[in-house]
Amino acid sequence: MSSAEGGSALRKTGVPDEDDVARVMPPLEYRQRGPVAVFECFERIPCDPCYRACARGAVLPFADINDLPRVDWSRCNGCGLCVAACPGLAVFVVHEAYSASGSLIKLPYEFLPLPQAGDDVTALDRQGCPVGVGRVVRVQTPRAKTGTPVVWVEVPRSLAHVVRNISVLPAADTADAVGDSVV
Amino acid sequence: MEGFEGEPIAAALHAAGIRVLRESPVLGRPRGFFCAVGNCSSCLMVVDGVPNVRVCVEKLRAGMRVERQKGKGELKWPQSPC
Amino acid sequence: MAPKSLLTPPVMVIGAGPAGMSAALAAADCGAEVLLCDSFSEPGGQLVKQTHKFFGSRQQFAGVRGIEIARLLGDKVASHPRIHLLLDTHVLGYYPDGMVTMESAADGVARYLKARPRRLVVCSGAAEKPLAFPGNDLPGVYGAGAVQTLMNLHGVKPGRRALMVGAGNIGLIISYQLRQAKVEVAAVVEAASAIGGYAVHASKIRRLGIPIHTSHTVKRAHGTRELEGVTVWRLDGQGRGIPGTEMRFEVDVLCLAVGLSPAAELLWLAGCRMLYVPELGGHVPWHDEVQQTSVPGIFVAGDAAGVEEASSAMVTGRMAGLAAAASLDLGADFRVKLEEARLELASLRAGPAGEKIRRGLERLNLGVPASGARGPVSSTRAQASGGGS
Repeated sequence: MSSAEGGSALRKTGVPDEDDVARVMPPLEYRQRGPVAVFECFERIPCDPCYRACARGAVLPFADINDLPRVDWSRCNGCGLCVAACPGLAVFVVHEAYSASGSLIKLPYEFLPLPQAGDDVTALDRQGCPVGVGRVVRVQTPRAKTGTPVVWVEVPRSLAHVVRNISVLPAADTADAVGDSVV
Repeated sequence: MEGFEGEPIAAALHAAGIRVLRESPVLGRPRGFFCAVGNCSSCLMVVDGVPNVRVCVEKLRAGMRVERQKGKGELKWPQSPC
Repeated sequence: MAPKSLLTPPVMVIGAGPAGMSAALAAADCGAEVLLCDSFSEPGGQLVKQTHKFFGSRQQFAGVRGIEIARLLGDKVASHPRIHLLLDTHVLGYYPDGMVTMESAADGVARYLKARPRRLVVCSGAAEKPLAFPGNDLPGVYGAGAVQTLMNLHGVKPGRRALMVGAGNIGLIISYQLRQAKVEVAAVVEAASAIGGYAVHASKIRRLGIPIHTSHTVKRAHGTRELEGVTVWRLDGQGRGIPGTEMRFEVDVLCLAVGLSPAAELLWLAGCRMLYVPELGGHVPWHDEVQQTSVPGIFVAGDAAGVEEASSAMVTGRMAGLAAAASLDLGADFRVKLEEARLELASLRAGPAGEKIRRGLERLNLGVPASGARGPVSSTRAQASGGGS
């Protein structure tokens, strides 16, 4: 499947680059207004559950199921239904001006143990590298056992568009042991 | 050894840390399972004296005797005529 | 209920995975009596171990986990008045007089059964491809699907630390599931120069810190009695390993996710015209637009027709079931339903992600439009409740 809409780096590394992220970033006025969804979806694949999940009509109807999601930002209130619905776990809600020094990120998290509100967790970037500490604000567990939990984590403002995952282990245990030798 | 009634023998063995299931016919190389769905013939063991049992699909029952198969196994034909 | 030893169902479906269940439901909903059999003890095929959420659209259960889809469809086939579900039943062969033979352990006793269906739909799925390298027979070297079966179906951890070969959807998804089972994943290696699976799957595992090494493959697997480590190396432009680029990983599980081949043996036995189509995974039976093979009355659907996705399997299954029932003169009007299925399939295959399938199908002389085909699945909310069976 050579269906790259993202740069060729995405095809090789699996990590969206700055240009990819910039292309899907909601306009500044909406990011300043409150929490808003960021669809890190760069590739045309047949998929439209984000449209079905949105209760506010912010995700526009798909003309072709392979289209990337198109969003009417004026309707998005950052509720996060899309975050839980996306099969690719590619949607995040970001509230840049959440607190004086912190931004809030709502991200999908399908691992056990789930963190709890008040926990400190390691904040990871798109390459799984620890970039700081996050404080868990809330964990939304789905009504149906088969749903996707959504974790709300507060991170320093500078990391609002850097952090896209968490680890509930301390940083030292996070990454797989990089103890492999090169022959 | 213990397992759950009805799970494949290979899963119970795996849970108990046993991954070598038999030895290959010519070179005696250790073999375990590969496909886990009964297609590849890698996991053949002797179960209750019957060889070439695909333990990745054969269900566990209490009291079963499961042995590593060496080589091609030995078929014992029934005494009575078909 | 003990089955008779010679069965004569109007429609027989072999394989109760997503394609087979969809075929059986489609045919039965149109009034046909259907015999549906599967070698496993529960319906669902590969769905029973697929804990990830599906793509596609509502018709193909987008956003629903594979295991849920298996339950939903499995309940429907088990309770349908016109579907006779035979589990623990292994189809042994197909004979020139149209006889299908089976070994059935459905009641706990092994029985030899024969069936002569009027129409046959083969949905036997696909099997994992092996990979050749020194040490590839060591215990601990498993098909990725086997690892998934062990973890998700039997609740057994495959090992402590794994290396994944293959960055198609299967390799990426199972790497994620390994981490969910708390098995470390040292890396994913992919022989091609780009990641073959969906970018979102790749991004998901990169966020876990799992590296993806493209243009790399296994040089050898190490271990005395069991797998202890794997050496990989980089490939040059001609696909040859480059000495000096070796990397060694200390792992006790090596997962091979290097592709699937259609399990099309029954179609060979039935005398169907077979073609070798790399884009579809290997040898596939030729089939027409409604999934009928070159042998009239024999249909094929799901991965046995060409390795694709579960969402496509559900639609090709539905198509085959409709077409099989349509040819039985049951009086129902199938044209609308067949057209709906055709449009749905075209829509699924229309984007860039369907390019390989389209190329493969062209070799069967089945043209599918490359540009986005508007189908009922991508309609506005007002039409959302219609369509599909």
